[in-house]
Amino acid sequence: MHFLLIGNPENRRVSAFITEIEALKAHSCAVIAYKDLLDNPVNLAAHIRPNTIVKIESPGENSAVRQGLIEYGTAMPHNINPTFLDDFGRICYQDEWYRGFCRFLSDLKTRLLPFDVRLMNGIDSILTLFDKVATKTILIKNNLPTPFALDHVGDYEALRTQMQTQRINSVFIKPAHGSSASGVVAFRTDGKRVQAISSVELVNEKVTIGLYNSLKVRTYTDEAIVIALINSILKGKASVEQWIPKAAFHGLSFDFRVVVIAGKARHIVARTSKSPITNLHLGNSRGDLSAIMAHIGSSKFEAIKKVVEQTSACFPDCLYLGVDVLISANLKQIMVLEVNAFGDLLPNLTDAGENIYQAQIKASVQKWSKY
Amino acid sequence: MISENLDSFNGKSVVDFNLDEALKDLNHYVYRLRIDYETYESGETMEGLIRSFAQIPANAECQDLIIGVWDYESSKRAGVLVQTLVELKDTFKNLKALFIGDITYEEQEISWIQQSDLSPLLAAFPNLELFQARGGDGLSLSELKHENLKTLTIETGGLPPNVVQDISNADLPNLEKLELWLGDDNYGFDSKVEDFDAIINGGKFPKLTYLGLKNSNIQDDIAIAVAKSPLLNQLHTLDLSMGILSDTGAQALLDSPNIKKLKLLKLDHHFMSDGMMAKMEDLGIAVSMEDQGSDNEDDRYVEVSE
Repeated sequence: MHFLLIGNPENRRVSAFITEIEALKAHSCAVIAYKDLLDNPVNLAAHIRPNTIVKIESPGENSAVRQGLIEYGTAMPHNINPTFLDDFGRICYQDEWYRGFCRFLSDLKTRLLPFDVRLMNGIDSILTLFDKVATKTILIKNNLPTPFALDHVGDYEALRTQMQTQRINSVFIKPAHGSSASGVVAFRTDGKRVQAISSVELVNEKVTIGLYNSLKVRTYTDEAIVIALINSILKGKASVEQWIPKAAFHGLSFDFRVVVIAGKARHIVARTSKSPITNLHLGNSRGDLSAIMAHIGSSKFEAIKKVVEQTSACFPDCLYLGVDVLISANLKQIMVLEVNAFGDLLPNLTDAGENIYQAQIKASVQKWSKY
Repeated sequence: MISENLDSFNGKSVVDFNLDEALKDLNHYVYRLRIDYETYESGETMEGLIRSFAQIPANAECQDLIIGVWDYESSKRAGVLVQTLVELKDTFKNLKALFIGDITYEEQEISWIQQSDLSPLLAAFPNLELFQARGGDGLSLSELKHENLKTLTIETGGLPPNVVQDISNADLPNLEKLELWLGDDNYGFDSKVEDFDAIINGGKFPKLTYLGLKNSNIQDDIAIAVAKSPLLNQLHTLDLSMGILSDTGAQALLDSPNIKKLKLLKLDHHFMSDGMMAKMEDLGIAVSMEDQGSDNEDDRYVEVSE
């Protein structure tokens, strides 16, 4: 087999995958950089051999690629403020980025059409999965358990009205095209007081406020600030859903990232956190999975795997996915929180003796060896 | 921030009560009654749950009971469930340990919990030995009088002045353990160390052996006052944890002639310097000092407030 990666060559996702391919000695491997595809007329044919499997990797963690995608996604690139792009951590142009990513991957899909290649994860699904609203719609349509979604929430006032009508006192607001908890706000009210928990840092500027990703989860209780924060997030496309209290163990709440490969729930981490936002880069850590499994019981654990496998069946063109699942504080409800097309970066995690990339390679060979 | 419900209470394992599950052996288990967010939305109430629980003859024998979250909108005070428990006092006549408000921050922040006057419970259950409550908003203990109560724990992010007064006026002749989370001025605390004089210096609780005045913004003042108090002659544990204890309060403790009479001094979540911690280590009694905070004075906070 020949594995062709579309990615940022300097990224550990790419280097770690290549390491696994090289260790096996049975397959070949090549990388095309996002940057090159964005800037140059890359000759795809030169990179494609018989039995080629394409792995589209995350374009993340590369500022030039981010800028390229944002510019590709806007009709008027001169309206993009370059100082915002250079401003480290600033949350901006997420919707433009997504449009650029859509256009880029659609181009790629067209360009790959003449070739007899297999994609580990299909482009249509990758694009759906980078839209949390669209992903949620698919989960609901397939009767998968997922927190109740609030629709048509254009601003803070609409949010409060909807929450009151639906008798929901706490919600998660997530930018539709964000990743790594960027711009995520956990908001709640008791009708009088308000509270917003987020890793977003607000910086007052002359006319507007700047929103920055930070590594610290903050609690905002001043309603004027909460309104400014939420209205800024809701200016872009966002998914708003009920905030379900997560189960806790040894003083930390937890949820699971389950990597599904070829339809099977495989590599699992429990993400433990002092805050409702459990993303691992925010000072949270992998919990003791076997202790947590014992705490929730094996039947619940099997139920989680089943839900995750059913979730992956909604995206049949994906060989692998990272599915985030919670179990509620009373240990009764299992809920799918997010589905990630690039949710496979979990170094040093093995299942049945294989790390995630080894398992993906093996599954690809099994699936496509006949072709 | 309290992120987990109790695993054990009064020496027994805690389980959530579910009508459709097999009954547990109450010699080893304590039931927690809580309204889940999903049943909350469908209109279930804590009063109803308490009544369903009480209808099961085996449960009525219970000696321990935990009330978990009853509200997600701060729309219902504890008063209604207190009234229900009081009405069922003959059913729950064996009750020895009761906790009102085993609620995590994710269910409801401690300052959002809607408490009310809990003293009718003490009057209704004369066999109570342990009483615990969480949440300071609306809390009072207007008739704090009980013959058998040994342990009283009040956990708040801001202990309101009226509760400080209620405890100062308490008639609890058999109290052995008193634990009060004083909290932060922004969340309802509004007392000075002098307001604790009756507790610290008044000889109010002749059997008291465990005193916790903790989670406090005025932790140094509390430490200085307790260090001078004759109460140290009777305590085995002094708990000044979770607050903003600095070297100032710690030095007063070190200088106290009676401090070595303690078996345990709890100072976890503190802002003492390394040097002060070393002196504490040499005190010759057990001192717990986990979670040393920042030495920047602007970055000091009590452990539980919001």
